[in-house]
This record gives sequence, C-alpha cells and structure tokens, in this order.
Amino acid sequence: MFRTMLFTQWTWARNPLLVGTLAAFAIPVISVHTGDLASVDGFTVRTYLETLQTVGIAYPILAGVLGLVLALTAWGPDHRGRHVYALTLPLPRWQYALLRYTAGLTLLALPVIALWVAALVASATVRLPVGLSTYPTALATRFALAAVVAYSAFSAISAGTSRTAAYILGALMVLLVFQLTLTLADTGVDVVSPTFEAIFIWPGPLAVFSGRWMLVDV
Amino acid sequence: MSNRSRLLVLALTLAGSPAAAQHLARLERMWKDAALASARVDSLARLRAREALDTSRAGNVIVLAPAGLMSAARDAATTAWEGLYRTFGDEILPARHKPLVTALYQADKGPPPYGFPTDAAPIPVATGRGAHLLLPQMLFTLTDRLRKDFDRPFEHWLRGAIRTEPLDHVSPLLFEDLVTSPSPLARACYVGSLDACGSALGLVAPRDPATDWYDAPGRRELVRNLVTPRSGGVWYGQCVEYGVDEACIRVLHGPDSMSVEPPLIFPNRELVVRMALQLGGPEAFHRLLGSAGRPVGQRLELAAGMSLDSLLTRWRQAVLLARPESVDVSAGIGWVALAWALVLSAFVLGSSRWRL
Repeated sequence: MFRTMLFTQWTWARNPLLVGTLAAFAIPVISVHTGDLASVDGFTVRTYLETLQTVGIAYPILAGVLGLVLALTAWGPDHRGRHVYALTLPLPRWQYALLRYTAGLTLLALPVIALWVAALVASATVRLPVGLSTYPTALATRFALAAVVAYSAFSAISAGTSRTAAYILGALMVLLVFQLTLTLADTGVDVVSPTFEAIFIWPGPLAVFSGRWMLVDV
Repeated sequence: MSNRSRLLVLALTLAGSPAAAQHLARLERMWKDAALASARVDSLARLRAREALDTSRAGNVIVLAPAGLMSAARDAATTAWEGLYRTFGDEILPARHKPLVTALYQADKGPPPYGFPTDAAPIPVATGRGAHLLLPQMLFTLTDRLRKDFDRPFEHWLRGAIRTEPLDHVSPLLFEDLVTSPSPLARACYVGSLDACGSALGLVAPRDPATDWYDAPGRRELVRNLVTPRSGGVWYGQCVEYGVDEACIRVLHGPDSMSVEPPLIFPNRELVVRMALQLGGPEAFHRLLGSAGRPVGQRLELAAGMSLDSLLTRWRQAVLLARPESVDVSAGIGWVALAWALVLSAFVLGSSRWRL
C-alpha cells in the first residue's frame, strides 16, 4: 500500500520535485564559486562571506517551497476528487493520512540528499584560510529539519477541513487588520513583531528557519 | 551696522545732510535696543524652562528632565552610573571630575527646548517603545563626553568612546574581524601569536603602518577601498589595476596615509582598553590618563596592572569565545523542530475526511 501511495505521489510531484532537487544541488555549488580562498586577502574573504550570507537566504526559502509543493501535491488530488479515492480504501482515516504523510516525507529526502552531496562536493573543492570552516552536514541537517517542519505545517493545513484553513487565514487577517488599526490610531503598539518573534525565535515552530545558513563560516 | 547702512551713512554724510544722518543713527540705536530686549526675553524663557525641569543625580551623573520623564531618567541614570563607574572608576567621582550632565526632552515635541545649561548634553526621548532606548542613548552621550579626557595620541589610536558593558558581553563581530581581517597579523594572532595580536591592535607603534601592518594584497585592497583617494591618479591606477606594490606603498605614504588604521577594527581596540580599565580597578583610568606620552601598549599595561601579554591573552580568549553561532544545528533547535513536526503531523492524522 505504501509503495503504491509513494508512486502515486511521485507521479504527481515529480516535476516540481526534480526542479527543487536540482536547485538544492546547485545552490551550494554555485555559492562556493571560487576554489582558492586561502591565498586571497581579508577584504575578499569578508566580501565572500557577505555574499555567501546573501545566497544563504535561498536555503530556507527552498525548504519552505518544497514543503509547500509536496503538501499541496499530496493532498490536492484528494480535494479535487472529493475524497472518493480515500473513502473507497479499506483503511481508517488516520492510517491513510499517515501513509500520505510519510510518502511525502520520503520524497523530501531527494532534495535533502542532493543538497548534502553538493555541499560535500563544494566543501572538498574550496581552500579556506585559517579560521574559516565548512559545515556541509550541519547545513543539510538544518535544511532537512526546515523542510520537514514546512511540509508538516502545510500538510496540517492541506489535510484539514476548509474550515481549518479558513480559521488560519482569518486569524492572520485579523492580526493584520488589528495592527493596521493600532497604527492608524497612533498608539505605538506593535502586535505583529511579537507574534513573528514567537513563531521564528526559539522555541517557536519555525525557529529552525532563522539564523545563519552558510556553508562556509567562521 | 551693516555694510549697506554704513554706505548709506557715508553717502548721506558726504552729501552734507546732518538731519538724515541723525535719523539713521536713531534707527540704529532702536535696532540695538530691540536686539537687547529680544535677548532678555530669550534668557527669561531659558530660565523658566530650566526651572520647569527636575533634577536627578546618581554618582556624578546629573539628569535634567521634565516631570513626565523623571522616573525613567532616574532609573537610567542609576544604571548608567554603575556602568560608568565600573569602567572609569574613581577618576569620574565628583571630587575629581566635572559632573556628567544630560538633559532629556520629548523627541516628538520638536527640537530641544531652551533652558539647558551649556555643559548639559541634550538627549531626545521617543515615546512608546522608543523610551527603552534612553539608557543606551545616555551611555552613548556620556561615554562620548568622556572622550574629551583622552589625550590626542590616545584618541588618535582608539578613535572612539570606551563602552561600559561588562567584559562577558563581547560581540561576535570581533571574532569575525579577527578571522577576516585584511592583515596577516590578525590571522597570526588568531593562531596564537601574542606579538601579532599587539601589532594588529596597533599597540606597538609601527615604523611604517603600510608595510608593517599589511602585506601586498592587503595594501592593494586598502588602496582600492579608499573612499576619496587624494594621491596621484597614476599611482592609484598602477596599484589597483596592475597590482604594482610600489605604487600602493606610494599612495599609502602620501596624503592617504591617514587611511591606514590598525588592522583590527575599533571594537577590538575598544575591548582591550575596556578590559584594562575594568581589570585594573578603580584607579585604572587615572593611570591611563596619567601616562600620556608613552606607547599605548605600556599605558594599557600600567592601567591594567598586569603585563601586556597577560592582557592580550585575556582579550584573545574573550574574542575567541565570542565566535558567532555558525550554521551548526544545536540540540535545542533540532529537538524543538522535530517536536513541532510531530505536533503538526498529529493534526494531519487527526484530520477529517469530511470536508466541512
């Protein structure tokens, strides 16, 4: 049953997944564009690190997008088919959901492995000055965790009822409208920043997305 | 009297019109009287505004503030004095130093009002969340004021104010500077050479900063990064375009020699001074100021009451400990991410097939 489910989801998601896997392979290799940093001066090293930090934004974005795409392709056809396929299977709902969820997780391994291999290759080809190190495995682990969290979050929304999605979107809208009202009233009260901090700062659910995403760092 | 009226008086006098000249003289007297009256009004306004301010004192820090800001001012002054005394010690006690006066005003009420004594540094205080900035603003203003106590060579070396944070607060920027500095001295310091650390901080006066502190690629980058190169365009071009080191040295020996700073940036130099002051006890700042004329390294030794090597060892350890968190995934972040993934997956498993 799992193999069938995995194959089905692969068929639905293979195009965006292959693009994502290619991107995951390309980003570390492209970011480490020069092979010899050991012989360049400090200004260049500093500029290089700044560039790497800018490119590093691509990792969490890619993790988020992959999580979103895999969640949508896993649950979208069910919505379009009005859940007839799911209802015809001799499985309890939780088991069906578990199969779909784990199949998505399995597919997520592709871009993660691609990023890890690319990071290892890039690390092996670059010569670094004293004080700088490469973090291929840490970067891949962080990417994997971010992708899993994003996939779980979007799956929770996609697999839920329309009402659940409406509640989440509604809560976001209420927050933004409330903030707009406070700003227009010139109260100086900020509710959006603390909310985002609670989400993106440890131990928030998306804390793994924040921080430095650099293959080469001090 | 303005030039125009002088010319007019001269013309009228020459024209032989004594009545017109008298009229002009009367006008000039009236103008002077009006200016005097305006100054008196201004002075009275200042006095009134000053009387409306409350005063709070903590140590040698005096804060003038309107009643609405007094509570925040008192707290900020107390904390600021603790930090200032921790760093500058007995040298800034009232018996030895002029009072450190600041005057607060509400920033959303326009420019600073009249009434502040000339020795008071005005600090605008924003309403709402901006009020939290009062303490850093006060410390910034007061430490900047204490820069006036530095002698010229020390100020020229440090090029900034000494902060008051405890020594366990070291910015990761300092580690990054040590590792990515354009000078080979900084990298040698990172590996463990204390002599290189002293040179990279500029504690040992170089014979020639351009050649002692930087190597050929470093010099080329220094020249390339000159904001407004003042030296001849030929040398600049030869240095930057063709990498001719002699040309780089010529540029850096010319008017642009002012741009050659010690390889490690100001926050690193500031930390070593702060360390000397805080480890040297309440008289450290006094010893530092009293040793003007000696090399900076010796002055820091005297201030800290320990050898320069010991001071540099401590500084280097503090900077190495400030290594920024790299991409390494800590156990905390990893477990929390997995926990959230599990929680969210529980929502997936608990989802209903009935689309409501």
